[in-house]
Amino acid sequence: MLSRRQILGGLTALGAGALLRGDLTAQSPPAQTRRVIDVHHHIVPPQFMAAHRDDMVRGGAGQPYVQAWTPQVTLEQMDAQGVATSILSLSTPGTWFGSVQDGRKMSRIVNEYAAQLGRDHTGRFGLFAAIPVPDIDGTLKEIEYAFDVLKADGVGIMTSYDTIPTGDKTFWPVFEELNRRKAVVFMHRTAATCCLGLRQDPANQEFIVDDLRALNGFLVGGTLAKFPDVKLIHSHGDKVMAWVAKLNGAPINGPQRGPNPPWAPDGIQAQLRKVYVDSAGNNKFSMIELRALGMLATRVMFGTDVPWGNVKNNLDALRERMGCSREEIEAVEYKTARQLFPKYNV
Amino acid sequence: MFTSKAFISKTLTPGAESRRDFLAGWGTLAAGALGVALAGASTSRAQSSSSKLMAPRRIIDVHHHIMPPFYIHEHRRDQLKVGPGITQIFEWIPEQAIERMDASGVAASILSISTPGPWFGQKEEGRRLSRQINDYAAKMRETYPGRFGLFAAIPLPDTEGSMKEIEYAFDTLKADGIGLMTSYDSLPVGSREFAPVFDELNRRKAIVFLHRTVASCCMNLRGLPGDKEFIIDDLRALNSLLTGGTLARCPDLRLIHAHGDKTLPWVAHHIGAGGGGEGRGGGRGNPAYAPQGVLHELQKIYVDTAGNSQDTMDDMRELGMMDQIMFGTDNPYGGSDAVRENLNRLMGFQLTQDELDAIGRGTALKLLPKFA
Repeated sequence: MLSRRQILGGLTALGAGALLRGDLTAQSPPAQTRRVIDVHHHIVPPQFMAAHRDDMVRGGAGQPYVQAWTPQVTLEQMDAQGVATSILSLSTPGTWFGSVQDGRKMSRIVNEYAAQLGRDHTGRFGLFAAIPVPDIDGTLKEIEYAFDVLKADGVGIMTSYDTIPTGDKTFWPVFEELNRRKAVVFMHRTAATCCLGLRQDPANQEFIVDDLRALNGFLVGGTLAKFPDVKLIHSHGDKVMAWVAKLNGAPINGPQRGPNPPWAPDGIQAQLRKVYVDSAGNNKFSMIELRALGMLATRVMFGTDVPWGNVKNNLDALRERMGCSREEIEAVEYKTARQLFPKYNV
Repeated sequence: MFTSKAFISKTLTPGAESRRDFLAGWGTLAAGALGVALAGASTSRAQSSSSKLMAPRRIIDVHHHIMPPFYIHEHRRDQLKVGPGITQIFEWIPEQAIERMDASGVAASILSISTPGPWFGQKEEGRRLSRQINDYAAKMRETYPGRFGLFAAIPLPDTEGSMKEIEYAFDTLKADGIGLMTSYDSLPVGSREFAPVFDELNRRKAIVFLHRTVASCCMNLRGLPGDKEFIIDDLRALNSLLTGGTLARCPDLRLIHAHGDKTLPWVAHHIGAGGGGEGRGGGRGNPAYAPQGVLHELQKIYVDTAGNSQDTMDDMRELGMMDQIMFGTDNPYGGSDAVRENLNRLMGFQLTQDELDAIGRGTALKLLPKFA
């Protein structure tokens, strides 16, 4: 039996919690001063989770807090931290689980869900639409629907599909269309299906590994050079950008070795510099490298990786622990994103 | 005796003179040092007289592969699967190795088997191949006294067979160390499954020569544009040894991560920084897998120079690891004469004379004093 004192004590604690939340709300910036744009913010639509819970868990993306995600989680964090707009996307493993029919259906469900959130909360949400790559036909149809009907801000892709890195020419028909539309393409890490066994290892780096494969494939496979109007955002790409430059002979601490290759006619770093990255979970060293590559002021946007990441933690880290100047912080928080998405420049 | 100033100025102004002159520079350095050595060491004279060129030899190559005929005969196709298009390795014979070493002033090469190693999914075969490879290398060592050492092959992931071969390699063959691959059946080498082997190697204070392979799960990715599967397996291996706790648990291991110069700096910066270690990113204290810090563990590792670049040398200098680099060639991989090509490239780097001498000889001798 609980004593009266224990019950009262519990109530007091509860009350303090509620008070604390009230304080936070009071301190959070009012709507008109919200200006941060979060380009890396995930949704977990209930229908999607219900259909693919096991796949999410197997891919290392089915944590309890992810399964418990609701739009309220997102809105509370955005309001508390002064985030004006979050551009919504699906995280790993995306909508492809080997079935053409399911891939198309799930992509549509996810996109309609995100679009509805956008209608419910005007100006607060953008959309990087899910597409069912490697099903090329289904993907082209969903691209059309996403841009022409839903007015999506871009499409979301994974770093690989059925183990093939996304920059591979297998997927060029999709990039032809995205290039024609001058589309923003938000690329998110996954673990290549051939390597899912390694995800169970405590020291696994399969996400980073697939980031490396994807970016290097985009560069060396010629996809970046061939589709210059695609605006690629490589989320988490901050950790592999300088490494890819160096592995191809263009270190940040010295001149490029050798002539410009055909896949980088203006130079290797210049080619990589066209890619955008986000700030979710990054570290000080990434920022140093991005600054050296000439990308920090124009190619890095704020991202949180909600619900895997947290808005406040990422914002605090950016403002306090990344060694960035005020100008650099402002560029990351909203200025670069406003350039890329003028409609959020309000 | 050469003057160190003259040698440095030569080394620091690549392009001012021909490559032959750089080699001559090393020759001068070698001759000077040998003059000192000859005063008290007759073995050097004996070795010297067996050389075709009669040139003094000082360099030690810690990354030098053998391609025994039986191994090629049985697994040519498997080798081509890992290294598509690399066919010059099949022309390898021991005499070719010696010729290349003599021509470039290499005193001794430590022999090892390259990827994919002796494991092809069957215990009996793995044990037999390991033994054959090791006996073959030991025979080569006997044929050319003083010119070869041995990093013995073991049949991981068969831990029991590996323990037996470790015993044979060290106690019977007097091997200089053990050669490992970066992964076995897709398991990174730092996986807990292999802990007993590392504990035994730690007990013996063994040198472990870690060489890249392609994880079996990723073979399908070989040959795609931008393929980086070797680098990726290097990353997995190093990261698993670090964050799996092997490096901290086995402090007496002397780990040589062949080609590791391309991944170690990345791990130092991004795992160290992001993983809460003492990385440059400013962490939150040392992680449990590295109680003395991530950099402390990484800075103990040795790397070699095979296929490296000025950039990776700069990275190693920035990490304070210039005394952890040893000359390696990857011969017979890496071009028509990897010994010569790797030496030429090394001569072109911006290095001080002390650094060059440590890389070419000094650091290797600390680990392998019997080649002094």
